[in-house]
Amino acid sequence: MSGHEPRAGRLAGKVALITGTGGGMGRAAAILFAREGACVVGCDLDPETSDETVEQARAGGGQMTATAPVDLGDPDSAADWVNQAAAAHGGIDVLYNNASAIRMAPIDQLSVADWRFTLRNELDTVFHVTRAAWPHLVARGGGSIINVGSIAAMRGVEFTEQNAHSAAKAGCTALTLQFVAEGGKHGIRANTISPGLIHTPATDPVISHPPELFQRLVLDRIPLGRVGRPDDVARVALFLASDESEWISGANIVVDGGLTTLG
Amino acid sequence: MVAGRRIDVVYNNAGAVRWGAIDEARYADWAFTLRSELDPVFLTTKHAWPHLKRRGGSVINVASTAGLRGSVTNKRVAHSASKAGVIGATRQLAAEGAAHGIRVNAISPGMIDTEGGQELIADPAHPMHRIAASVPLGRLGTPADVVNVALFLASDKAAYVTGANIVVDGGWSAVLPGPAA
Repeated sequence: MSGHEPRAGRLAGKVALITGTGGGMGRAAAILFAREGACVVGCDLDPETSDETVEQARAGGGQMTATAPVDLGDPDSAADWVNQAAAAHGGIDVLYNNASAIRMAPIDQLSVADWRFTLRNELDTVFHVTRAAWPHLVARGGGSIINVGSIAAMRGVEFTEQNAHSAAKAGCTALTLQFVAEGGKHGIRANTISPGLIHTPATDPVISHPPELFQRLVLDRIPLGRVGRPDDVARVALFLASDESEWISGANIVVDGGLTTLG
Repeated sequence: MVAGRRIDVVYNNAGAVRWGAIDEARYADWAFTLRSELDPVFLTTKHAWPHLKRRGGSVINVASTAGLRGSVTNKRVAHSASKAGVIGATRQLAAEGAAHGIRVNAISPGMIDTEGGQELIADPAHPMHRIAASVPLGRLGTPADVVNVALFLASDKAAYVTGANIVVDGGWSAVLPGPAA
Protein backbone atom coordinates (compact mmCIF):
# COMPACT_ATOMS: atom_id res chain seq x y z
CA MET A 1 0.00 0.00 0.00
CA SER A 2 3.02 2.33 0.36
CA GLY A 3 3.41 4.93 -2.32
CA HIS A 4 -0.32 5.10 -3.03
CA GLU A 5 -2.19 8.36 -2.61
CA PRO A 6 -5.08 8.31 -0.17
CA ARG A 7 -8.05 6.91 -2.04
CA ALA A 8 -11.15 8.91 -2.72
CA GLY A 9 -14.58 7.34 -2.69
CA ARG A 10 -17.39 6.30 -0.43
CA LEU A 11 -15.38 3.36 0.93
CA ALA A 12 -12.02 5.13 1.08
CA GLY A 13 -9.68 3.50 3.57
CA LYS A 14 -11.90 0.48 4.20
CA VAL A 15 -10.87 -3.16 3.95
CA ALA A 16 -13.83 -5.04 2.48
CA LEU A 17 -14.10 -8.83 2.39
CA ILE A 18 -16.56 -10.16 -0.17
CA THR A 19 -17.34 -13.86 -0.59
CA GLY A 20 -18.24 -15.33 -3.95
CA THR A 21 -16.59 -12.68 -6.11
CA GLY A 22 -16.51 -14.85 -9.23
CA GLY A 23 -20.26 -14.71 -9.67
CA GLY A 24 -22.75 -12.06 -10.76
CA MET A 25 -23.57 -10.11 -7.62
CA GLY A 26 -20.19 -10.71 -6.00
CA ARG A 27 -18.35 -9.50 -9.06
CA ALA A 28 -20.48 -6.36 -9.34
CA ALA A 29 -19.87 -5.57 -5.67
CA ALA A 30 -16.13 -6.17 -5.90
CA ILE A 31 -15.77 -3.86 -8.87
CA LEU A 32 -17.99 -1.17 -7.35
CA PHE A 33 -16.39 -1.30 -3.90
CA ALA A 34 -12.90 -1.12 -5.45
CA ARG A 35 -13.95 1.86 -7.58
CA GLU A 36 -15.14 3.58 -4.39
CA GLY A 37 -11.73 3.25 -2.78
CA ALA A 38 -12.03 0.07 -0.75
CA CYS A 39 -9.26 -2.46 -0.46
CA VAL A 40 -11.24 -5.49 -1.65
CA VAL A 41 -10.42 -9.09 -0.73
CA GLY A 42 -12.47 -11.69 -2.58
CA CYS A 43 -12.78 -15.42 -2.87
CA ASP A 44 -14.63 -18.03 -4.90
CA LEU A 45 -14.68 -21.71 -5.75
CA ASP A 46 -13.82 -20.98 -9.39
CA PRO A 47 -10.31 -19.60 -10.02
CA GLU A 48 -11.07 -18.48 -13.57
CA THR A 49 -14.04 -16.25 -12.77
CA SER A 50 -12.34 -15.07 -9.59
CA ASP A 51 -9.30 -13.90 -11.56
CA GLU A 52 -11.50 -12.17 -14.13
CA THR A 53 -13.13 -10.14 -11.37
CA VAL A 54 -9.75 -9.09 -9.98
CA GLU A 55 -8.66 -7.97 -13.46
CA GLN A 56 -11.83 -5.94 -13.94
CA ALA A 57 -11.58 -4.32 -10.50
CA ARG A 58 -7.96 -3.34 -11.11
CA ALA A 59 -8.69 -2.14 -14.63
CA GLY A 60 -10.97 0.43 -13.03
CA GLY A 61 -8.07 1.66 -10.89
CA GLY A 62 -9.21 -0.25 -7.85
CA GLN A 63 -7.39 -2.33 -5.30
CA MET A 64 -8.31 -6.01 -5.11
CA THR A 65 -6.89 -9.42 -4.34
CA ALA A 66 -8.71 -12.74 -4.31
CA THR A 67 -8.12 -16.38 -3.47
CA ALA A 68 -9.66 -19.31 -5.33
CA PRO A 69 -10.65 -22.00 -4.81
CA VAL A 70 -11.78 -21.41 -1.25
CA ASP A 71 -14.43 -23.72 0.22
CA LEU A 72 -16.17 -21.50 2.74
CA GLY A 73 -18.29 -24.44 3.87
CA ASP A 74 -15.15 -25.82 5.49
CA PRO A 75 -14.59 -23.86 8.72
CA ASP A 76 -10.79 -24.01 8.54
CA SER A 77 -10.67 -22.83 4.94
CA ALA A 78 -13.05 -19.99 5.77
CA ALA A 79 -10.96 -18.96 8.79
CA ASP A 80 -7.72 -19.11 6.80
CA TRP A 81 -9.12 -16.84 4.12
CA VAL A 82 -10.39 -14.33 6.68
CA ASN A 83 -7.26 -14.33 8.83
CA GLN A 84 -4.95 -13.96 5.83
CA ALA A 85 -6.97 -10.97 4.63
CA ALA A 86 -6.83 -9.33 8.06
CA ALA A 87 -3.09 -9.95 8.35
CA ALA A 88 -2.34 -8.59 4.88
CA HIS A 89 -4.34 -5.39 5.32
CA GLY A 90 -4.23 -4.72 9.05
CA GLY A 91 -7.88 -5.41 9.82
CA ILE A 92 -11.39 -5.73 8.43
CA ASP A 93 -14.05 -3.04 8.08
CA VAL A 94 -16.70 -4.62 5.87
CA LEU A 95 -17.81 -8.23 5.49
CA TYR A 96 -20.20 -8.98 2.63
CA ASN A 97 -21.47 -12.57 2.96
CA ASN A 98 -22.51 -12.94 -0.65
CA ALA A 99 -21.38 -16.45 -1.64
CA SER A 100 -24.04 -19.01 -2.45
CA ALA A 101 -24.53 -22.37 -4.12
CA ILE A 102 -27.86 -24.20 -4.18
CA ARG A 103 -29.60 -27.32 -5.40
CA MET A 104 -33.28 -27.42 -6.15
CA ALA A 105 -35.92 -30.13 -6.42
CA PRO A 106 -39.55 -30.54 -5.30
CA ILE A 107 -39.83 -31.26 -1.60
CA ASP A 108 -40.62 -34.94 -2.08
CA GLN A 109 -37.70 -35.44 -4.46
CA LEU A 110 -34.92 -33.35 -2.92
CA SER A 111 -32.16 -35.66 -1.68
CA VAL A 112 -30.81 -35.29 1.83
CA ALA A 113 -27.43 -34.58 0.25
CA ASP A 114 -28.86 -31.72 -1.80
CA TRP A 115 -30.67 -30.24 1.25
CA ARG A 116 -27.43 -30.32 3.21
CA PHE A 117 -25.45 -28.93 0.26
CA THR A 118 -27.70 -25.87 0.10
CA LEU A 119 -27.69 -25.24 3.86
CA ARG A 120 -23.91 -25.73 3.93
CA ASN A 121 -23.18 -23.34 1.08
CA GLU A 122 -25.66 -20.59 1.96
CA LEU A 123 -25.95 -20.68 5.76
CA ASP A 124 -23.01 -22.55 7.28
CA THR A 125 -20.68 -20.36 5.23
CA VAL A 126 -22.09 -17.22 6.87
CA PHE A 127 -21.45 -18.74 10.28
CA HIS A 128 -17.90 -19.88 9.49
CA VAL A 129 -16.81 -16.64 7.85
CA THR A 130 -18.45 -14.29 10.36
CA ARG A 131 -17.14 -16.28 13.30
CA ALA A 132 -13.61 -15.87 11.96
CA ALA A 133 -14.04 -12.21 11.10
CA TRP A 134 -15.63 -11.22 14.41
CA PRO A 135 -12.44 -10.70 16.47
CA HIS A 136 -11.00 -8.58 13.66
CA LEU A 137 -14.13 -6.41 13.54
CA VAL A 138 -14.04 -6.07 17.32
CA ALA A 139 -10.36 -5.10 17.24
CA ARG A 140 -11.15 -2.51 14.59
CA GLY A 141 -13.72 -0.87 16.86
CA GLY A 142 -16.61 -2.03 14.72
CA GLY A 143 -17.63 -2.62 11.16
CA SER A 144 -20.41 -3.44 8.74
CA ILE A 145 -21.66 -6.95 8.06
CA ILE A 146 -23.93 -7.43 5.06
CA ASN A 147 -25.83 -10.69 4.71
CA VAL A 148 -27.83 -11.75 1.70
CA GLY A 149 -31.38 -12.84 2.33
CA SER A 150 -33.85 -13.31 -0.49
CA ILE A 151 -37.48 -12.81 -1.37
CA ALA A 152 -37.48 -16.60 -1.13
CA ALA A 153 -37.29 -16.13 2.64
CA MET A 154 -40.46 -13.99 2.54
CA ARG A 155 -42.71 -15.80 0.10
CA GLY A 156 -43.22 -19.30 -1.24
CA VAL A 157 -43.52 -19.81 -4.99
CA GLU A 158 -45.57 -22.76 -6.16
CA PHE A 159 -43.55 -23.62 -9.22
CA THR A 160 -40.04 -22.70 -8.05
CA GLU A 161 -38.34 -25.48 -6.09
CA GLN A 162 -36.70 -23.21 -3.58
CA ASN A 163 -37.41 -25.15 -0.35
CA ALA A 164 -33.82 -25.55 0.91
CA HIS A 165 -32.86 -22.14 -0.46
CA SER A 166 -35.76 -20.48 1.37
CA ALA A 167 -34.74 -22.12 4.63
CA ALA A 168 -31.11 -21.10 4.24
CA LYS A 169 -31.95 -17.52 3.33
CA ALA A 170 -34.40 -17.18 6.21
CA GLY A 171 -31.58 -18.42 8.39
CA CYS A 172 -29.24 -15.75 7.04
CA THR A 173 -31.88 -13.08 7.69
CA ALA A 174 -32.37 -14.19 11.29
CA LEU A 175 -28.63 -14.45 11.86
CA THR A 176 -28.35 -10.79 10.92
CA LEU A 177 -30.61 -9.82 13.83
CA GLN A 178 -28.51 -11.77 16.27
CA PHE A 179 -25.31 -10.20 14.92
CA VAL A 180 -27.00 -6.85 15.65
CA ALA A 181 -27.59 -7.84 19.26
CA GLU A 182 -24.18 -9.36 19.89
CA GLY A 183 -22.25 -6.81 17.85
CA GLY A 184 -23.72 -3.51 18.97
CA LYS A 185 -21.48 -2.99 21.96
CA HIS A 186 -18.47 -3.54 19.69
CA GLY A 187 -19.68 -1.03 17.10
CA ILE A 188 -20.51 -3.87 14.73
CA ARG A 189 -23.64 -3.38 12.67
CA ALA A 190 -25.31 -5.98 10.49
CA ASN A 191 -27.93 -5.72 7.78
CA THR A 192 -29.61 -7.90 5.18
CA ILE A 193 -30.20 -7.29 1.50
CA SER A 194 -33.06 -9.37 0.12
CA PRO A 195 -32.75 -9.53 -3.64
CA GLY A 196 -35.63 -10.47 -5.88
CA LEU A 197 -35.03 -11.96 -9.27
CA ILE A 198 -31.56 -10.89 -10.38
CA HIS A 199 -30.03 -11.79 -13.75
CA THR A 200 -26.75 -13.53 -12.98
CA PRO A 201 -24.88 -16.41 -14.59
CA ALA A 202 -26.69 -18.68 -12.12
CA THR A 203 -30.18 -17.47 -13.05
CA ASP A 204 -29.47 -16.94 -16.73
CA PRO A 205 -30.99 -20.28 -17.82
CA VAL A 206 -34.40 -19.58 -16.30
CA ILE A 207 -34.42 -15.90 -17.30
CA SER A 208 -33.26 -16.47 -20.87
CA HIS A 209 -35.60 -19.42 -21.40
CA PRO A 210 -38.42 -18.91 -18.95
CA PRO A 211 -41.02 -21.61 -18.48
CA GLU A 212 -44.48 -20.33 -19.33
CA LEU A 213 -45.75 -20.17 -15.74
CA PHE A 214 -42.61 -18.40 -14.57
CA GLN A 215 -42.93 -15.83 -17.36
CA ARG A 216 -46.60 -15.18 -16.71
CA LEU A 217 -46.67 -15.27 -12.90
CA VAL A 218 -43.29 -13.79 -12.01
CA LEU A 219 -41.52 -12.00 -14.85
CA ASP A 220 -44.62 -10.27 -16.20
CA ARG A 221 -45.67 -9.14 -12.72
CA ILE A 222 -42.55 -7.31 -11.57
CA PRO A 223 -43.86 -3.78 -10.99
CA LEU A 224 -40.75 -2.04 -12.29
CA GLY A 225 -40.96 -4.10 -15.46
CA ARG A 226 -37.58 -5.83 -15.55
CA VAL A 227 -35.48 -8.35 -13.69
CA GLY A 228 -32.75 -7.01 -11.47
CA ARG A 229 -29.14 -6.54 -12.48
CA PRO A 230 -26.19 -7.40 -10.25
CA ASP A 231 -25.45 -3.68 -9.99
CA ASP A 232 -28.91 -3.04 -8.50
CA VAL A 233 -27.86 -5.13 -5.53
CA ALA A 234 -24.22 -3.98 -5.46
CA ARG A 235 -25.26 -0.34 -5.10
CA VAL A 236 -27.35 -1.14 -2.05
CA ALA A 237 -24.46 -3.15 -0.62
CA LEU A 238 -22.23 -0.11 -1.18
CA PHE A 239 -24.64 2.06 0.78
CA LEU A 240 -24.70 -0.45 3.65
CA ALA A 241 -20.92 -0.76 3.60
CA SER A 242 -20.36 2.98 3.72
CA ASP A 243 -20.47 5.37 6.67
CA GLU A 244 -23.66 6.87 5.21
CA SER A 245 -25.51 3.99 6.87
CA GLU A 246 -23.58 4.01 10.12
CA TRP A 247 -26.71 3.97 12.30
CA ILE A 248 -28.55 1.34 10.28
CA SER A 249 -28.42 -2.06 11.94
CA GLY A 250 -30.89 -4.91 11.63
CA ALA A 251 -32.46 -3.55 8.47
CA ASN A 252 -33.61 -5.80 5.66
CA ILE A 253 -33.56 -3.92 2.37
CA VAL A 254 -35.63 -5.65 -0.28
CA VAL A 255 -34.32 -5.05 -3.80
CA ASP A 256 -36.93 -6.68 -6.02
CA GLY A 257 -38.49 -4.07 -8.26
CA GLY A 258 -41.60 -4.17 -6.05
CA LEU A 259 -42.43 -7.84 -6.60
CA THR A 260 -43.10 -8.74 -2.96
CA THR A 261 -45.45 -5.81 -2.43
CA LEU A 262 -48.00 -7.72 -4.48
CA GLY A 263 -50.47 -10.22 -3.14
CA MET B 1 -47.20 23.25 -7.31
CA VAL B 2 -45.55 24.68 -10.41
CA ALA B 3 -47.77 24.28 -13.45
CA GLY B 4 -46.11 22.72 -16.46
CA ARG B 5 -43.03 21.44 -14.64
CA ARG B 6 -42.33 17.95 -13.43
CA ILE B 7 -41.65 16.70 -9.92
CA ASP B 8 -38.87 14.14 -9.41
CA VAL B 9 -38.87 13.54 -5.65
CA VAL B 10 -41.54 13.80 -2.97
CA TYR B 11 -40.34 13.48 0.62
CA ASN B 12 -43.38 13.06 2.87
CA ASN B 13 -41.63 14.02 6.08
CA ALA B 14 -44.02 16.36 7.92
CA GLY B 15 -45.98 15.17 10.90
CA ALA B 16 -47.32 16.13 14.30
CA VAL B 17 -48.43 13.79 17.02
CA ARG B 18 -50.36 13.71 20.28
CA TRP B 19 -49.44 11.04 22.76
CA GLY B 20 -51.82 9.25 25.06
CA ALA B 21 -52.45 5.81 26.50
CA ILE B 22 -55.48 4.00 25.11
CA ASP B 23 -57.64 4.65 28.15
CA GLU B 24 -56.65 8.32 28.41
CA ALA B 25 -56.34 9.54 24.83
CA ARG B 26 -59.29 11.48 23.49
CA TYR B 27 -60.72 10.74 20.09
CA ALA B 28 -59.69 14.26 19.05
CA ASP B 29 -56.06 13.35 19.79
CA TRP B 30 -56.35 10.16 17.70
CA ALA B 31 -57.91 12.05 14.81
CA PHE B 32 -55.32 14.84 15.05
CA THR B 33 -52.46 12.35 14.83
CA LEU B 34 -53.90 10.43 11.88
CA ARG B 35 -54.72 13.68 10.09
CA SER B 36 -51.23 15.06 10.68
CA GLU B 37 -49.18 11.94 9.96
CA LEU B 38 -51.19 9.76 7.55
CA ASP B 39 -53.48 12.07 5.59
CA PRO B 40 -50.57 14.14 4.24
CA VAL B 41 -49.05 11.05 2.66
CA PHE B 42 -52.27 10.59 0.68
CA LEU B 43 -52.90 14.24 -0.11
CA THR B 44 -49.38 15.28 -1.09
CA THR B 45 -48.72 12.17 -3.13
CA LYS B 46 -52.10 12.37 -4.85
CA HIS B 47 -51.53 15.91 -6.01
CA ALA B 48 -47.91 15.30 -6.97
CA TRP B 49 -48.79 12.18 -8.94
CA PRO B 50 -49.57 13.78 -12.32
CA HIS B 51 -46.27 15.65 -12.12
CA LEU B 52 -44.32 12.56 -11.05
CA LYS B 53 -45.73 10.69 -14.03
CA ARG B 54 -44.07 13.05 -16.47
CA ARG B 55 -40.68 11.41 -16.13
CA GLY B 56 -41.00 8.98 -13.22
CA GLY B 57 -39.74 9.77 -9.78
CA SER B 58 -39.19 8.77 -6.18
CA VAL B 59 -41.65 9.16 -3.32
CA ILE B 60 -40.20 8.71 0.15
CA ASN B 61 -42.57 8.35 3.10
CA VAL B 62 -41.36 8.76 6.65
CA ALA B 63 -42.85 5.96 8.72
CA SER B 64 -41.39 4.83 12.06
CA THR B 65 -40.37 1.82 14.08
CA ALA B 66 -43.55 2.76 16.00
CA GLY B 67 -45.37 1.31 13.00
CA LEU B 68 -43.63 -2.03 13.56
CA ARG B 69 -43.46 -2.41 17.33
CA GLY B 70 -45.34 -1.54 20.51
CA SER B 71 -43.80 0.31 23.42
CA VAL B 72 -44.45 -0.11 27.12
CA THR B 73 -43.01 3.32 27.89
CA ASN B 74 -44.21 5.46 25.00
CA LYS B 75 -48.03 5.89 24.93
CA ARG B 76 -48.53 6.07 21.21
CA VAL B 77 -51.41 4.03 19.88
CA ALA B 78 -52.41 6.74 17.37
CA HIS B 79 -48.81 7.23 16.24
CA SER B 80 -48.30 3.48 15.79
CA ALA B 81 -51.49 3.24 13.77
CA SER B 82 -50.65 6.18 11.53
CA LYS B 83 -47.10 4.99 10.89
CA ALA B 84 -48.21 1.45 10.12
CA GLY B 85 -50.66 3.08 7.76
CA VAL B 86 -47.80 4.89 6.07
CA ILE B 87 -45.99 1.57 5.58
CA GLY B 88 -49.10 -0.05 4.13
CA ALA B 89 -49.82 2.90 1.85
CA THR B 90 -46.23 2.78 0.64
CA ARG B 91 -46.65 -0.75 -0.70
CA GLN B 92 -49.86 0.08 -2.54
CA LEU B 93 -48.40 3.28 -3.98
CA ALA B 94 -45.39 1.27 -5.16
CA ALA B 95 -47.72 -1.10 -6.97
CA GLU B 96 -49.68 1.74 -8.60
CA GLY B 97 -46.64 3.83 -9.46
CA ALA B 98 -44.32 1.28 -10.97
CA ALA B 99 -45.80 1.32 -14.46
CA HIS B 100 -45.15 5.06 -14.51
CA GLY B 101 -41.58 4.75 -13.29
CA ILE B 102 -42.57 6.09 -9.87
CA ARG B 103 -40.80 4.34 -7.00
CA VAL B 104 -42.32 4.61 -3.51
CA ASN B 105 -40.44 3.62 -0.36
CA ALA B 106 -40.65 4.17 3.38
CA ILE B 107 -38.01 5.01 5.94
CA SER B 108 -38.69 3.90 9.50
CA PRO B 109 -36.55 5.88 11.92
CA GLY B 110 -36.11 4.77 15.50
CA MET B 111 -35.28 7.23 18.23
CA ILE B 112 -33.87 10.33 16.57
CA ASP B 113 -32.42 13.23 18.51
CA THR B 114 -34.37 16.14 17.00
CA GLU B 115 -35.62 19.36 18.54
CA GLY B 116 -39.05 17.82 18.90
CA GLY B 117 -37.54 14.85 20.66
CA GLN B 118 -35.60 17.13 22.98
CA GLU B 119 -38.83 18.42 24.47
CA LEU B 120 -39.89 14.88 25.24
CA ILE B 121 -36.67 13.84 26.90
CA ALA B 122 -35.80 17.05 28.75
CA ASP B 123 -36.83 15.34 31.96
CA PRO B 124 -33.75 13.38 33.07
CA ALA B 125 -36.00 10.72 34.55
CA HIS B 126 -37.68 10.13 31.18
CA PRO B 127 -37.34 6.53 30.00
CA MET B 128 -35.78 7.72 26.68
CA HIS B 129 -32.46 8.09 28.45
CA ARG B 130 -32.46 4.42 29.30
CA ILE B 131 -33.50 3.60 25.78
CA ALA B 132 -30.35 5.11 24.27
CA ALA B 133 -28.41 2.68 26.41
CA SER B 134 -30.44 -0.20 25.02
CA VAL B 135 -29.91 0.71 21.36
CA PRO B 136 -27.42 -1.85 20.03
CA LEU B 137 -25.29 0.86 18.47
CA GLY B 138 -25.37 2.73 21.78
CA ARG B 139 -26.78 6.12 20.76
CA LEU B 140 -29.85 7.90 19.46
CA GLY B 141 -29.98 8.70 15.78
CA THR B 142 -29.33 12.07 14.20
CA PRO B 143 -31.26 13.76 11.42
CA ALA B 144 -28.30 13.07 9.12
CA ASP B 145 -28.71 9.33 9.74
CA VAL B 146 -32.20 9.57 8.25
CA VAL B 147 -31.42 12.09 5.53
CA ASN B 148 -28.65 9.87 4.16
CA VAL B 149 -31.21 7.14 3.55
CA ALA B 150 -33.65 9.54 1.95
CA LEU B 151 -30.89 10.75 -0.34
CA PHE B 152 -30.11 7.17 -1.29
CA LEU B 153 -33.78 6.39 -2.00
CA ALA B 154 -34.18 9.56 -4.04
CA SER B 155 -31.17 8.69 -6.19
CA ASP B 156 -30.66 6.28 -9.06
CA LYS B 157 -28.63 4.14 -6.70
CA ALA B 158 -31.99 2.79 -5.54
CA ALA B 159 -33.33 2.29 -9.05
CA TYR B 160 -34.58 -1.24 -8.31
CA VAL B 161 -35.87 -0.49 -4.79
CA THR B 162 -39.62 0.10 -4.52
CA GLY B 163 -42.16 -0.82 -1.86
CA ALA B 164 -39.32 -1.18 0.63
CA ASN B 165 -39.23 -0.05 4.25
CA ILE B 166 -35.73 0.83 5.43
CA VAL B 167 -35.43 0.78 9.19
CA VAL B 168 -32.91 3.33 10.56
CA ASP B 169 -32.78 2.66 14.28
CA GLY B 170 -29.31 1.57 15.34
CA GLY B 171 -30.59 -2.00 15.63
CA TRP B 172 -33.30 -1.26 18.18
CA SER B 173 -36.21 -3.07 16.55
CA ALA B 174 -34.04 -6.02 15.55
CA VAL B 175 -33.56 -7.11 19.15
CA LEU B 176 -35.58 -7.59 22.32
CA PRO B 177 -34.94 -4.89 24.93
CA GLY B 178 -31.73 -5.54 26.83
CA PRO B 179 -30.91 -5.22 30.51
CA ALA B 180 -30.51 -1.43 30.28
CA ALA B 181 -34.05 -0.88 29.00
